[in-house]
Amino acid sequence: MSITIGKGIPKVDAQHKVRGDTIYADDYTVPGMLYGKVLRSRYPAARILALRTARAEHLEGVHAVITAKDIPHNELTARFGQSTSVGVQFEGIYRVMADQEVRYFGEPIALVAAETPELAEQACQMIEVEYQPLEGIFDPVRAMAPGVRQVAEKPQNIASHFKIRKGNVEEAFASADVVVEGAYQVPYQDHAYLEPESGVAWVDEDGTINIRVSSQVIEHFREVAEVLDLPHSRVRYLGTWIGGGFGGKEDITVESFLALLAWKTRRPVKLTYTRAESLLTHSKRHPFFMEYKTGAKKDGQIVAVQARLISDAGSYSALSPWVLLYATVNAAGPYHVDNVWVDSYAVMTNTPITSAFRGFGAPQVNFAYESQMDEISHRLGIDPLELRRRNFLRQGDSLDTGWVYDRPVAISEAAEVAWQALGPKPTSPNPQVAIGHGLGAGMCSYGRLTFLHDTSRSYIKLELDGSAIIRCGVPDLGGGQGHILCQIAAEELGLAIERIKLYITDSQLTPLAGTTTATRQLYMSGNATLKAARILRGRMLEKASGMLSVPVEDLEVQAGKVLSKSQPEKSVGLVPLVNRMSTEGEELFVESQFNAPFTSIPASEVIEGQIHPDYTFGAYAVEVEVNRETGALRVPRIVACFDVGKALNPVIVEGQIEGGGIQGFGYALTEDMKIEKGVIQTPSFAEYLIPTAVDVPDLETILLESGTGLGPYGAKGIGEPPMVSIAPALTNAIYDAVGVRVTSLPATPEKILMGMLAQEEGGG
Amino acid sequence: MIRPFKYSKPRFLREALEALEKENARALAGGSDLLVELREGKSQAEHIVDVKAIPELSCFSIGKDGIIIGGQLTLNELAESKELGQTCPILGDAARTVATPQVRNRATLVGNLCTASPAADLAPPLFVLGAAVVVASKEGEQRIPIQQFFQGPKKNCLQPGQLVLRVEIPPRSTGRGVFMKKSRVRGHDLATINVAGWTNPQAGILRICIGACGPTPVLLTSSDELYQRAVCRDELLDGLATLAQDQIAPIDDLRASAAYRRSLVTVFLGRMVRILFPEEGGWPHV
Repeated sequence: MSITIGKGIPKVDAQHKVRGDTIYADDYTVPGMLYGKVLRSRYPAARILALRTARAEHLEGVHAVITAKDIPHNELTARFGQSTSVGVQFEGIYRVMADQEVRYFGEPIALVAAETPELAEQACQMIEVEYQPLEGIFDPVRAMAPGVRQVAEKPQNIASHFKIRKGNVEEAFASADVVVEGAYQVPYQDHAYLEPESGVAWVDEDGTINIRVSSQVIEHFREVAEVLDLPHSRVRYLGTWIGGGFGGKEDITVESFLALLAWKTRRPVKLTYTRAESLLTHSKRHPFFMEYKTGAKKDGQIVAVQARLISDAGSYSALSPWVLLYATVNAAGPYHVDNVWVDSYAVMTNTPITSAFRGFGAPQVNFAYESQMDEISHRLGIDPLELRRRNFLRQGDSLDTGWVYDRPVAISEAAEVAWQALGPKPTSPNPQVAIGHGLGAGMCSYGRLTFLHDTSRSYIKLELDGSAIIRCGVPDLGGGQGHILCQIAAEELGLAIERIKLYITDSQLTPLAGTTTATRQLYMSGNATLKAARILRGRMLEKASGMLSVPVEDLEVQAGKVLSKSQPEKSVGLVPLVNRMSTEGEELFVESQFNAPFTSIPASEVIEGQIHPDYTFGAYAVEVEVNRETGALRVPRIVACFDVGKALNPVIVEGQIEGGGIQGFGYALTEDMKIEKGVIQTPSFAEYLIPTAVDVPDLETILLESGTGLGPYGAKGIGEPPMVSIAPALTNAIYDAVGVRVTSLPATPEKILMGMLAQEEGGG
Repeated sequence: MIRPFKYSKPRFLREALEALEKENARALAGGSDLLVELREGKSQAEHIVDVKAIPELSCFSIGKDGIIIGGQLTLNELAESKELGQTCPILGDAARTVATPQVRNRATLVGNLCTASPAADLAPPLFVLGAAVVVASKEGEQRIPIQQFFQGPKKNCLQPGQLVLRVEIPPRSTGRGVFMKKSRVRGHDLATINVAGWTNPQAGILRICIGACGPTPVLLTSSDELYQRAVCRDELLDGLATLAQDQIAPIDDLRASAAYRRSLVTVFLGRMVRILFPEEGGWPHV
């Protein structure tokens, strides 16, 4: 019987957050602290002819002004916690500050540390920058043309290019009874976390730089050390509870700046971005321009998919190659298709950095392929669920990379359950309001790219009173990434969860657990913790076996004791057991490492074989009401169904699905990031609208538990997958309601109305 | 960063008027616009004159002489006033659509007018009600018709040393009004368009004002004549749509295109006329 697993136990951090006691990055102050500020480029593309800092340096209260020339290593190969080198196809540069040339509006040019935030800002204003504007390259499609100015160190502005070549699409299209084609466009999206980028750094008496920062990747301590030309061991990250990440804190944010300023001034320094600074300058979700062609037989069988994907990789490649790779291997979706041809390009432009965002390339292509599925369904007159059921991936089918997916797939069940739960379409009481139903199915990997050779470590120690300590370098973004480790240890060791103290995110004192990205922490650190707990449990059982004269196989752990399964009166309490182990010199601690499957780095642009450890599958079914006069949209119902493998904590899992669903709802309908000549025109939440409580209905979440995941107890990852497939469910429902196919997100009332007007003109 | 400024909170009107004569002086009521401008460096204000302690700005009365709303009245106070809801519901209807409950607890009706946004939600109702803005300076008081108060986008007619005391809505024996707004989301957002209408069928009066479709709210001219001439509701509707399309001048911005705004105006006029004149048979001129 399980002690904690499968139960909606409140997170260990929940009470503190609800009461407002949690200490976030910006809540820290250190005596003698200075304030940092970043001077940023006012041009999207320009040469820096002169940079004069003397006036700012002489301002009283200013302790440091730093520009590129002051930085030991201003330019590094960008890394994201991986300990292997993955080659130029997957790597770009990380530049701390612009040096002689700026590539995007808002690029850092100088850093200031001063006694007050006001002085720091004043000093920034006193730094003189002479720019010579350059021709800005803003359109990724045009940027690929020969002869266009090179934004970065990439020929033809192409940061990376991948291909899928499965089967023979030409023959397959010739044999198809119906072929649909479409061009789709998806926009920028901002992570819009509650907590903007923030941190504080100080230098210890022995010259170690400590950085307390809101980051998804504490392994960035290595890059920061390289920037300063220090040994890796001299830079220490201390994480904080994070007020939302969603991929936006996967790249280095404030930490290099903090380290440089603290190192130069030998004073503690704090730096927190303003909301406008965060919105204007941190990384965004990649806009994609996609051309799709899908061929099907009369019976609905999809025989071929061909896609050309162009992502706007922004001004530094950051994670663009990886995001593009994810999109490429997801291009045909959770379907078995024998013939797939994909050409994908990540193209550099003088626009904000685009990088990781929940879903990581999967939502972009999902919007396109699920729109295509919907079109085929209408063209062939096959119900949307039925069409998908005839094509869904099954165990033993191959993905578009040719990798045979030899695990059970519950996508068909998920889609069916969601669609059935939505029920029959009601008739609209108002002739001006059309009601539509839409379905979107999708897949999303959990765990990192297998050629990154991902690992995680976790440490558990038993105390003499039967309490325990977990140390694990897992950044907790609010998704229960830390908490769930306590639940796993409690289950295995028979501990009450409140007896466990959790230490997370100290790059020098907690075992490195890898990044909180790629929906990997439950899978990776959960397994590392499970492994450690089971070793400890084994030692406990071994000792108890001797004490009780009962064979180990007959023993089980229950809350607070170990007892014989066949003779339950034979038991020993946890405290006497641990004390005996201690007295007899047994090790009461274990540090374990879990390794994901390892594959080799793709040798060419053609992507083949296994790329991810596994996938999570799920579907959304939605009901929309469209006003025929204004295009205004109301979404009364959203049903989500995901196969989560095993819901270790159903409350957390539902929270992830609701959060991801709503974030996807914003992506689909309301979040309209306007950008003109490389400059974002929506620098606040008054212009850039994330959905609020009054815009979103209650999400109905249904969990399937196939028990087939690679995580502890058969769990799959659920952090990112709910971001995938709600957008096409909504646009497919709009089509069902009023016959307008929205091919570019967000699906605003204006686009819907203009679509209806065009229809009237066209169709009469 | 907010640049330094001098703050005063006078208790007498005379003091406030003197303070407002200084260069770069700004009155502060709810602060929901001013503080944002200050933080974004868009306001050069050096003297902030808090008007929340001046007794002359606290008046709020509904009576035979019409409706008087002082400069301190918040949008939520208007929205929650039962008496106002019974006498003139379109003001509360408009107030309830502004921003969020938190903002409405601070933001004032007079502040909404002083910001002079073309999308100001309280403007169209006040335009159709024929409101006047009472402005004080050391020279005395002055009544300014609301149409003259709005000069252009974010530009009102106030001179240094002037302060809006209150808004006055003339008494009217009978009539009914409607306010409507379209935003991008149901949550907080500025209006893509907003529209107010007022009619007194006995007197043959119909006034329509459209916001966010020009440099200032647009009070349609000749709507009375059109109303008096129209032989049926549909004719009125068609006439109004033409009138509106001639008189509005919407722009493309990040909230909507001009074309979408024009489409919305016609739709909203239709809805408004159907609410103002619910029965085709009740048409007074037939």
